[in-house]
Amino acid sequence: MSDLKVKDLRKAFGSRGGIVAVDDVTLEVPQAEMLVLVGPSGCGKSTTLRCLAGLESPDAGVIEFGDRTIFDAARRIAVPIHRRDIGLVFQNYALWPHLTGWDNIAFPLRSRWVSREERRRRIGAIAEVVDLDRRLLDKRPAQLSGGQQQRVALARALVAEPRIVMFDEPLSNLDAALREQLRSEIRRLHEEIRFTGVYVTHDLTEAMSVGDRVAAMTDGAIIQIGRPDELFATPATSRIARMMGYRRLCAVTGREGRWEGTDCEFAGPAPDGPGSTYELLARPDRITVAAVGTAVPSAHDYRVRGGVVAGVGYLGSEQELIVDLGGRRLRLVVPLGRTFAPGERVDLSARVADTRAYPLTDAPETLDTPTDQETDE
Amino acid sequence: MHTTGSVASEKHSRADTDDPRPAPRPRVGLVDRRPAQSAARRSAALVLVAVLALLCLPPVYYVIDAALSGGGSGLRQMLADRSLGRTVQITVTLALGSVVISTVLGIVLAWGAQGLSRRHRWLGHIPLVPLVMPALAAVTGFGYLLNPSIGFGNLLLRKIMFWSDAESGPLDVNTVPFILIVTATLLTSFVYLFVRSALAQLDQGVYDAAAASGASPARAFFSVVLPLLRPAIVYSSLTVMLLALGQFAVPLFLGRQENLNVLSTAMFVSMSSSPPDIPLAAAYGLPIIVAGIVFLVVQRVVLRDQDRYASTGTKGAARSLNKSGWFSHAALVVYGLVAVAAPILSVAIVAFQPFWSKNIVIGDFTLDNFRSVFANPKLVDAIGNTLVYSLSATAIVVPLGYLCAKVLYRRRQQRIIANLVDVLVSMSLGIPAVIFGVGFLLAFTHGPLNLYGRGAGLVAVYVVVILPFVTRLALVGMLNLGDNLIEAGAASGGTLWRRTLTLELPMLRPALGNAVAICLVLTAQEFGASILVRSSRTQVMSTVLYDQFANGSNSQVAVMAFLMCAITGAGVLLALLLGRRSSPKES
Repeated sequence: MSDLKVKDLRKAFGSRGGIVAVDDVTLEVPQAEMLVLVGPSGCGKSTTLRCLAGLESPDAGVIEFGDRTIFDAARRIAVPIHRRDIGLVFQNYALWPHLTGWDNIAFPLRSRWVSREERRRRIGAIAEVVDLDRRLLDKRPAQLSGGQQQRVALARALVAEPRIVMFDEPLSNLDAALREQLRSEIRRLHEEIRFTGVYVTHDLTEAMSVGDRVAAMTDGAIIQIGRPDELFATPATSRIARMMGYRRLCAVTGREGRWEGTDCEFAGPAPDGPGSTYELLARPDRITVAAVGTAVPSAHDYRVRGGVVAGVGYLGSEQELIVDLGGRRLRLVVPLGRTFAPGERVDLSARVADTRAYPLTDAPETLDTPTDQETDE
Repeated sequence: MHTTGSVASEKHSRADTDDPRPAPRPRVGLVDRRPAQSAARRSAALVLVAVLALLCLPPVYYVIDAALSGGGSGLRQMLADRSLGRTVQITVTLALGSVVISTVLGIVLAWGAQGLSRRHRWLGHIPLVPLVMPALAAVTGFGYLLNPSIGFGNLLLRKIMFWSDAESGPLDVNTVPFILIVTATLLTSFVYLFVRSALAQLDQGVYDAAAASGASPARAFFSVVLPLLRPAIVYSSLTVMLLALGQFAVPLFLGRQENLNVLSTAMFVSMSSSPPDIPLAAAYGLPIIVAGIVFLVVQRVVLRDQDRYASTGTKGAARSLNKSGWFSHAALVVYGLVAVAAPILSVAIVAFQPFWSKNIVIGDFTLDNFRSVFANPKLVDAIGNTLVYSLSATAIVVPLGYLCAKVLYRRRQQRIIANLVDVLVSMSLGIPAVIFGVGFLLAFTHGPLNLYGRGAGLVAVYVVVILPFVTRLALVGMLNLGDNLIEAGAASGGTLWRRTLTLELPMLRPALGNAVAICLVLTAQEFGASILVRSSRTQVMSTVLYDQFANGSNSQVAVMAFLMCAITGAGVLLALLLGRRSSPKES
C-alpha cells in the first residue's frame, strides 16, 4: 500500500497564477520507500515538497498520507502542517537557536504530549541512531559544527516517528567530505528505520545514492520516475539524459534505411521511419577521442570528424578536454596517458550501446544552444 | 539504440512533445478551503485595523475639519496674518536647509564609520546618540552653550579668538541660522542610521570591482557606492524634511524669544492663547498634514523598485574611503563633541551651578537645584506621571506593534489588510506629534471618549506616536528570523500557540527588548503631543521642563534636562543589555 499518494497536484505563483511551479504532479510512494525529487533549480521540486508538508497551499490536486486525505482542493480539505504527522529536515537545519540540542529534539515530542520519561527514552535512542554524542545535546546550535547541527536536525525530524519524513536539500550547506559522509548516513538511517521519505536535491549523485526511486522534474512536471539505475541507463527524454550527464554528440537523419548526417558518420542501419531526425547523446566518459586518421575501434559505430581541441584540463585520475565541433563545444572526460594539445584536430567516436537517440522534436530548442555547449557536469 | 524509459505519465511527457499546455485552471484560494481558520485570522486582523483606525484617524480628521469649518475661517485668518510669510519662510528654510546639511553630514559620517578599526568601532555609535538623547535636553544644552551673552561656547570663543573685547556673541543661538544648524545636527542621526545600514549591506565586491577596474576611491564612491545608496538617501532625506517641517521643540525653545515662528509653533501659540483659536491652529497644521501624506506616497513610490539597488554578493560591508581611520575618527569625534558632549555638558554644568553663571567654579557645584526640584511636589508628580504613562504606553504598544508587524510580515496572505495597517501605522511618522496632540485634544475631549485631563489621554497619544517604531523593530526582528525556524516548529507538530510562545517570542526577545527600551526612552521624553494633551493633573517631565523654561528657571530646567538624560541613558543601557543577550541567528 502506498504511504503517500499525490494526484494532479498543481501550484502556481504570481498575481494571476502565471508562473506554474508544480504542474499536475502525480506520484505514489510505497511504505518505507525513499523517493528523491531531482531537477535543476526552479524545476518545482522544493515547491512540491512544501505542498506535501503543508507549507504551501496547492491550487489543485489531492494528497493522501496512507488512508488519510490531508489535502483535496475539490473537497476543500487542507490539514494544517502541524497535524500532518511529518518530519522535515531543512536545508539550513532551522534549529532554534535559543534551545539546546536536547530541547530542539524534544519539541516534536512535547507537541505530541509525550510523557517526560518516554521523551527521555526516545531522545536517547535517536541520538544513538544518528550518532550524536549525548554531551552535545546540552549545547545550543551555535556551539555545534555544521555536521553536528545537521545530525540534531535529523534527530528532530525522526524522533516522533512521523508518518513521512521530508528532506529539503539537507546537505547543500555542507562541505564535500561531510556531504558524502552524511549522505551515506541518511541511507543507513533509512535502511535501519525504514521510514517513508521524500527527498529533494539538485545533486544527481546524492539522488542516485539516497533514493530507492528517483523522480526527475523539469518545468514543474515529473518527466520520469524509476530506480536510479533505470534512469541512468534509459533516460526517457533528452532533457533527462542531459540531467544524467549525457552530452550531444551529433544530429543525424535516417532516410530509407540509411543515416545521413552533416557532422556524423554511422556504421549501422537507421531505424525505420521516413526522414526522422535524431540527436545522439552520450556520456562524456564513453566518447573516445583520437587524433585525425587514427583507426576507430571496430565496435564504435558513430564517428564525428573535424573536432579541434579547444582546452585541456587535469582532473587527477583523468583529464578534461574541451572539443570544438564547428562552433559547438563539447566537454569530455578521457583517461590520462594520451597527451592532447590545444588546436589539435581530433575525431570522436562512440558505441551504439553508450549512445541514446532522441527525436529532435523532443527538445528542438536545445540544439546548438548554450545548454548543449555547456562544459560543466 | 535506446529511446525508451519509464515515463511517469503521458501528460507529464508533454515537455518533450509539441502538445500545447492546457490553459491554467482557475486557482482555488486557501481561504476557500480553510474557511474557519482564515475567517478567524481575517477577523482578528480587521479588529486590529479598527483599533488602529480609531486611534489614528479621528485626530487627523478633526484637525482637517477644524481648519475647514466655518467656511475655512481658520485658513482665512491664517492668510490674513501678516507674519505668515515670515513663518512659512522660516519653516521652508528649516526643512530644506536641514535636508541639505543632514544628508551631507549623515553620508560623510556613515562612510567614515565604515572604516573604523575594531578597536574604534564604538565611535560608530556616536551619531546615533541624538536619536535617543532627549530633544529638550539637547535644545536647552545648545541654549546654554550658544547664548550670546553667557553661553559657554561663546565665552570660550571670546577667550581664544578675536572677539575678546566683545560682551556678547560671536554666535547667537536665537537666530534662524542657528535654529537651522541645531535642528540639522540633531536630525543627522536619521540619515546616518539609514545610510549606515545600507552601507553595511553593500557587498564589498561592489567597491572592489570598481577599484579593480581602475576607479579612484573618489570615483568608486561617487559612481558606484553613492548610486547604490540612493534609496536609503532619498528615504532618509524625506524623513528629515518631514521632521524638520514639523519641528517643534527647537524653534519653540530657541525662536520664541525673538518671535521666530514656524508653522508648528504658530499652531501652538494659537492653541495657547486664551481662549484657544482652534480653527487658526488647525489651519497652521494643515500644510504639515498634506506634506505628511505626500511623504507617505513618495516613500512608497521610492521604495517600490528596491531590487535594482540590491547587490548580490555576500562578503561583508563596503570598505571605507580611508582605512587609516584619521578621517573617520575626526569626523565622528567632532560630531560627538558638538552634537552630544557639548550640550549635555552645558546642561550638567548649569544643573550643578548654584545659578547659571559664566564663571564655572567646580568648587561651587551644589546639589541644591536637585533638592529644590525634588522638594517641589509638582515636579515629583511629573516624574512619577512620566514613569507611569511610559510604562503603560509600553505595555500597550509593544503587543500592538508585534501584531501589526505580524500582519505586515504576512503581507502576501492579506494584502489589503496589510496595506491598511501599514498606512495607519505610518501615519504618525508622516504627521508630527504636535499635530496629533491638537487632533487628540479635538477628538477626545468630548463624548464617551473624553480623555482630557486623564493619564489615558497621554498614554493613547504616546501609543500612536511610538507605534511605527515598535512595529518596525518587531518586523525587522521577524525578517531576520525568517520563515524556516517557525516552519520547523509547525513541521514538528507545534500548534500556533506553542510555536508563538516557545519559539517565536523567545527568538524575538532582542528585537522586542529593544522595542521596550525605545518605547520607554521616547515616551519619557515626548514633548510635542504632551504639551497639548497635558492638563494640570497630568504633567510630565517634558511639559514641566517647558513651563520652567517659560518661567525663566534656568537651573531647574537644567536639572530636569539632566534627569531626562539619566533616565534615557538607563533605557539605552537596558536596550544594550537585552540586545546583547543571546541574539538569535539562524544557525
